[in-house]
Amino acid sequence: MFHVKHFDVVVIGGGHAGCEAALASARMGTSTLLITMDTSKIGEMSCNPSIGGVGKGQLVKEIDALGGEMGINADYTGIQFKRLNTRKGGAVQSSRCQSDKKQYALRMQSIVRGTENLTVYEGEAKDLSVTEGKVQSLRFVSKDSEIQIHTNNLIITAGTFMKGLMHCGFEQSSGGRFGEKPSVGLSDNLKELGFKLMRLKTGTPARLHRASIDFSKMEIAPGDDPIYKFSFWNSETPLPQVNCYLTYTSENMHQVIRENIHRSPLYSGHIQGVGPRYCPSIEDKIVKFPEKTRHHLFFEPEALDSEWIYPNGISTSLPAEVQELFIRAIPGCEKVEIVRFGYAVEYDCVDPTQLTPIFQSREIKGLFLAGQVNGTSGYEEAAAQGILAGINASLQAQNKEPLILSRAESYIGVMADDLTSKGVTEPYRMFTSRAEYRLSLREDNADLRLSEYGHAIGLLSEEKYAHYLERKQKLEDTKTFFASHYLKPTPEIDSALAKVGSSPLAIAQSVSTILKRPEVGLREIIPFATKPLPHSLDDKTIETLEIEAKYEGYISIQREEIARLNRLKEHLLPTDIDYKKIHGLSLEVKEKLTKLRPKTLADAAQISGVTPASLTALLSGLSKLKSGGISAQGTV
Amino acid sequence: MLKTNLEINESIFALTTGGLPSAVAIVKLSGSTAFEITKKIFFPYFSDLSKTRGMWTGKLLTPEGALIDQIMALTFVSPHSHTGEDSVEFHCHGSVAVVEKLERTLISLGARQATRGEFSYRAYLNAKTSLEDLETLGDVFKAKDQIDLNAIYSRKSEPLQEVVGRLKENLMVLQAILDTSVDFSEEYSNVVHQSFQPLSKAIHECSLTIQAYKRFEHGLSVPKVVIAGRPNAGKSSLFNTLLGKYRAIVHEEAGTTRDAIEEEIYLEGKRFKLVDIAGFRQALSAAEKEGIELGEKFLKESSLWILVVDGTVGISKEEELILERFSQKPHLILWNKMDLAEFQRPPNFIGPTVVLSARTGEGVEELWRSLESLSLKVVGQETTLLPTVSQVKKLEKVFELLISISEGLKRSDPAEMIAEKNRAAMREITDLIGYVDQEEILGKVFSEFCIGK
Repeated sequence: MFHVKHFDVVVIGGGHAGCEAALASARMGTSTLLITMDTSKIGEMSCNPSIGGVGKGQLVKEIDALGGEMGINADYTGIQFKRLNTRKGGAVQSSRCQSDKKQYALRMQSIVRGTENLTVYEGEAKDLSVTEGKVQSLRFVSKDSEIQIHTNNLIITAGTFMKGLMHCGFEQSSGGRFGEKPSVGLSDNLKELGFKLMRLKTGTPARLHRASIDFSKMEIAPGDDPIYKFSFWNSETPLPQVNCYLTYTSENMHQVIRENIHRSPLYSGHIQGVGPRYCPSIEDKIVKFPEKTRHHLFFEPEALDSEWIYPNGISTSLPAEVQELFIRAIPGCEKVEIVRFGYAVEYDCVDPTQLTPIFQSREIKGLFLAGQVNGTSGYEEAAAQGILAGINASLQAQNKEPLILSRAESYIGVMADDLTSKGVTEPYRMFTSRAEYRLSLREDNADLRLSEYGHAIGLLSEEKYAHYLERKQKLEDTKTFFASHYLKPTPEIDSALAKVGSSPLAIAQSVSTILKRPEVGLREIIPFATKPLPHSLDDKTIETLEIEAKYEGYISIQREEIARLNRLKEHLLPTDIDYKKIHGLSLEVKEKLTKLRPKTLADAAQISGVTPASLTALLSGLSKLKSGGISAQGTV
Repeated sequence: MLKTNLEINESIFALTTGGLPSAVAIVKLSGSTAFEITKKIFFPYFSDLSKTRGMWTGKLLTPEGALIDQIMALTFVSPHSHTGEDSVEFHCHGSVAVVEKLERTLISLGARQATRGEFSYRAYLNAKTSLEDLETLGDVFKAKDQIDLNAIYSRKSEPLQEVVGRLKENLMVLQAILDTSVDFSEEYSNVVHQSFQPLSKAIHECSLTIQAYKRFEHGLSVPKVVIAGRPNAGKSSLFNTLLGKYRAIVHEEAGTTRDAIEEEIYLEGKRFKLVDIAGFRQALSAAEKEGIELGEKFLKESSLWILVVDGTVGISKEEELILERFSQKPHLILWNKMDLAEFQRPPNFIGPTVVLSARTGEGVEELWRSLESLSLKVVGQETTLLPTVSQVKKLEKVFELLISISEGLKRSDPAEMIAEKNRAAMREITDLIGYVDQEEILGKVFSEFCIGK
């Protein structure tokens, strides 16, 4: 049978990027098609069974604030929740949960199936057709049908499947994930369309049989109680909570790995792809940090009803028999049964500098790429790109202005900018240190930063938006109230302050001022309020108020910095500017500017080697250029 | 940010040479009407004034035709001038009356007195000079000798780059440690204590650079030559002999403290302060110890010292002690009074010695040679590390931030707050160290710490 169909937006791939992209587009009212090779793998967690982490938790919160699914899905299927960095200030605290892998995928599949405007096809996408620099159509092929699909907005989320090659020792097999076929045609297709491709590598550890592990030799790593959930909305955390286990590598194990290092494809040159430095294989850790006598390992359950344990920290590409040897040298694993061996996977990805900050191709209108295919790593990074690509594909289908998120307002913006302006040399993972305004880009205020956008583009439901407005109102009223509510020094207050190690009040001070003291929490001083609060306080409000008070000085410096950058942004740099003729720039800076062609002074400022002095020279050169200056001299 | 060209067309003038009266006074006129004005008041002897680059002699007249002076004028056509504008230099006789008349005439023709630094400002706006060049020029005026000049002109080379390179490295390591503790808290919950080492190094680099500038600015970089010795060994006559040969042209400065008799001398292009501690000794009461009399305090501060020994008496215990304690510094022993009958040759174990008679002048030639070669050693030791004023201002801010980081660490402030201050420090000196990309920091993180579960 041969059909012809039309969709506003088509998404290829049903991983974390594909799900968010398809859901966002469909929820925004554009007719959306999701094509996947295997519908039962939609929402699959191919590696570790957890969502969030430092920097990643912030991404999940941002997806949630815009109206995405990841946070809600993580809440409903989480089996252990943990706040990280709790010993640090609130600004860099992050959420993470262990997920029931099976439940996570199943719930995501049911959400995808139940979403209006969203159609799912199982099969392969082929023959992308582009004319006049614009996506026109593609061909869908499955066992029993072939459909010509017309669309002007296509999002490719191919994960690690483009020319995926798995390594276990020197054994190689094609595939993007264990037991699954690679996608071969797609990367050639992209290559034909002029995309520059790169080869990256990632890895996954062996999986162990639960009953064969002696957990009594390990430390129990429990979750938090009460749970701090991901979603700002009315999600629940219905699953029973379980423990993880902490253990360490042994000297014996290091010895086994050292003796067999020549059998690792990483060290014998069989793997050409570049792996991530932050997620090294166990052989890497032992070779590169010989002075470390032990590395810690977390043993994580994959699902409530699964016998599989994910041993976090021993990703490897060593051959199966070596894996067996070294894993058995881990305390508690003497008699372990390995249910699947670890492997490394090499795959094609596109150089993301060929994309705009909404992940659309710079050359081909309507072609979006999101997720691991852009050289990132991690479910959260993939999902965050997916939602931004989905939103913009839908906006484009509706002939609306794109939604570009900036570095100053979101981690998603940081990632989009990093990827599309700097590119990658290894799989890109989010860290808080990548965000220069990390004290302002927090989990607690992700909704305050992004929900307004989510609603404006038609993604965040009216119900959630109403909830957001209510929270915002409450926060603002309370903030105003505390700023003008003065507490007089009394023995009661002073003794409450003394309890947390704070000095007594010398004079009457506003609640906001007292709250700036690092050791004082809102709960300590609220009882002394002499007027009724405008609203009853909840944990979320308290958290945001406290963080803002403690970091006020730093946040205001960051605000100034953002404002400075925004001012620089107003100075557009003409594309035909001849940097060689600008007086006062070093040769190195001239070359860099000529090569990278920044769009604004703000972009120029971010280029390594471009100093404030060169910005001044650039600015003065620009003004001369405009006024027609002293061009007789040959410089502008 | 920058001013527009609005007020730039106005012509400005200023007397660019020193106080009047003087042999010659140069008044400089710059601006779009410079030639127009000049044509009204200056009449060359041999041809009409044209708008070309040139050197002219002629009469300077008021617009009414009264003679002001017979002068030479240099003309410059934009953009080939110091300011990049049309300009004229009037080389008049350095008379108060002439200059005043010329200035009044220029004002009557629409020019105005330049404000301080305005010529340079225009040169900058017209891209004739860079900020660095201007700063360099500012420091050239402060330079006291060739060594200072060398330090100024070699600024971009090693000493500053080295120190700044180390500063950058330590700030980056510090940032890497702090970021590790935030981003990889599970693996590295307790790395913050490692911050102290790079921090104290960074503070050291910073203060080293700031101090170098302060010494330059206050003229403290001038090394001292101290003349030590027992009473009547011949210190004062040596002092006068040296002054006779090397006395520097001294321009009195405010705030120079004098504990002893100090004069400035020039040795091999380097300025030294010559200190005769005799003056100091006389101010002391008789009860003071001989060690102090020998000028220990001054010897400590000296860059080079001379011990004058009375060759008729020989070396005393105290003098031996001094020789031992300060033998690391360049020094010279003068075995004096070779013209007297009781004179004995010096023993040969005591170090570099010149035998002479300060009274008759015998052996003085050898003294010059030894002293000049010694002074080169001192010059070699002096660091030429020298930042510019604006660099120092930024470094002072960085220093402040680093001190505040140090206090924060002691208080156990959260790492992300401390990291923020460190980032501010790196931003502050972007001009010096370049924009620090987060990738560079991450590179440090991954090479220093084993990251990844």
